[in-house]
Amino acid sequence: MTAVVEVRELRKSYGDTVAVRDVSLTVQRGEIFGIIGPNGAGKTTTVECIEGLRTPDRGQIRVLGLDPGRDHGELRQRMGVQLQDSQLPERLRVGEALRLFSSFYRAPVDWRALMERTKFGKLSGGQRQRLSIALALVGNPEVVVLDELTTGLDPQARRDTWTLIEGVRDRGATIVLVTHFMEEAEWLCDRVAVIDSGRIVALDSPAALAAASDAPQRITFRPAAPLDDALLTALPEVTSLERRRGEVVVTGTGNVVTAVTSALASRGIVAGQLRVEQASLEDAFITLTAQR
Amino acid sequence: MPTASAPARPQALPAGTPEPATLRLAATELTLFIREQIGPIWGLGLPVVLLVIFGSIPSFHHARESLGGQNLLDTYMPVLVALALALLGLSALPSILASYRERGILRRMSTTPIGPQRVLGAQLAIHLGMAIIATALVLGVGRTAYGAALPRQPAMYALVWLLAAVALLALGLLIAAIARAHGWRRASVRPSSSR
Repeated sequence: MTAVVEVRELRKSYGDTVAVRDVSLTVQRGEIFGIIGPNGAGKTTTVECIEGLRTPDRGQIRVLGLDPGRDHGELRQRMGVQLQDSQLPERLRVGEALRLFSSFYRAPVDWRALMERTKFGKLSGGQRQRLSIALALVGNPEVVVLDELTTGLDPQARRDTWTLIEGVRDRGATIVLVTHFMEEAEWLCDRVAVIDSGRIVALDSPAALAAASDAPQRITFRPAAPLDDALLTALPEVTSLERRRGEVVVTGTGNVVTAVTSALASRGIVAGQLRVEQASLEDAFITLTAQR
Repeated sequence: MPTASAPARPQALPAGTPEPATLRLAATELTLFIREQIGPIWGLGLPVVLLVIFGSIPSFHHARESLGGQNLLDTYMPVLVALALALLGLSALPSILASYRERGILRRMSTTPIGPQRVLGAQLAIHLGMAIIATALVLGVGRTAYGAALPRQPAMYALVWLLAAVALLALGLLIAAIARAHGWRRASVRPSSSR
């Protein structure tokens, strides 16, 4: 495994405001690396330092072994970037934008397949977003930095974009992704860094983060026969039980699912429409970023 | 109906067919400049329209004592050329660049191999080119249609013209650099509303 992006003890402040206090991370080749965190946590500043748009106050950054500040000429050839809210000239057509951007790179992908005559000003938010992603990929980059990848996209377009990003990774690119959609991080990212107040508070795979969060599990079902609450509340794994619109909602920790289902089975009560909600990255995120 | 479906199976183009980036950039910026219409209409159109109006007024062709025997039209010729330079330098250039800055286009360019400097360079070149065309139009139309006098010292004229053009474009860059809000720019030098 080779490190494609290396950030060591990054610090960046704007005047008196410290945007990034201390961030260190390493992204391996072929990895999809997510950066999540509350608004103003320093996510965008971190990736802007990686992109070479900002000069760090302290710390070291290497991308493909290059210094984004000093070797930006070479790095820009090999890095594709999508900025959070950058636009294009109102009257620039989609095909013209793709042709223009592909002319910047040594080995661009074929933009002609993407040709379209619509002007940028006439595109919907989702179409603009897709164009912005296309422009980040047109140079056939080795590293792609995407800030708020699917903001403004409808659910279908979001899924399509995820598939696309996985395809880009499969051909060998490394991807750094800033997002505030937990579902996106969970779906796409191999590893996720949770940033809060300019610091990394957790860094692991989405599943490991979720498991470590120790968030309660919730079991919802519709009992086929009358059920005495005490049967379940007596179980040590169950922390609470409530009834909502004819459904029973049981919250608990540990092996609560097995405990509840076997207790029900012992009385011959069928649990209809059984659903189990397990700790997700979102739970982990809230737990991690709440304790400031 | 994907409008900009990003490349699904990216494949590098066969090598040896790269388009020169700076040329493509200049061509695109020129297309946009013409499509925006502000620059061509104000920088090229207005001085020529004024020239046609002035040239059609008979009294503009009478020699005047107060002008040392020169007529009004000949007196106005350099003014019209200066007007074209001022409209291009103080209005068209800063409004384009300020909108590029507001929309994050210069930042986006900083993340590509082309960089923001070449965008500025392309804009300067386009505006300078337009200024040359505007000057040629004013002199040519003035001379052929209305018999206006041409500069008597072409070399000196070219030098002064160049100094004026550079000064006004530099002022335009300065305005673009400090004008943040839309309002300030429009209130100061913009001749008309665009969008």
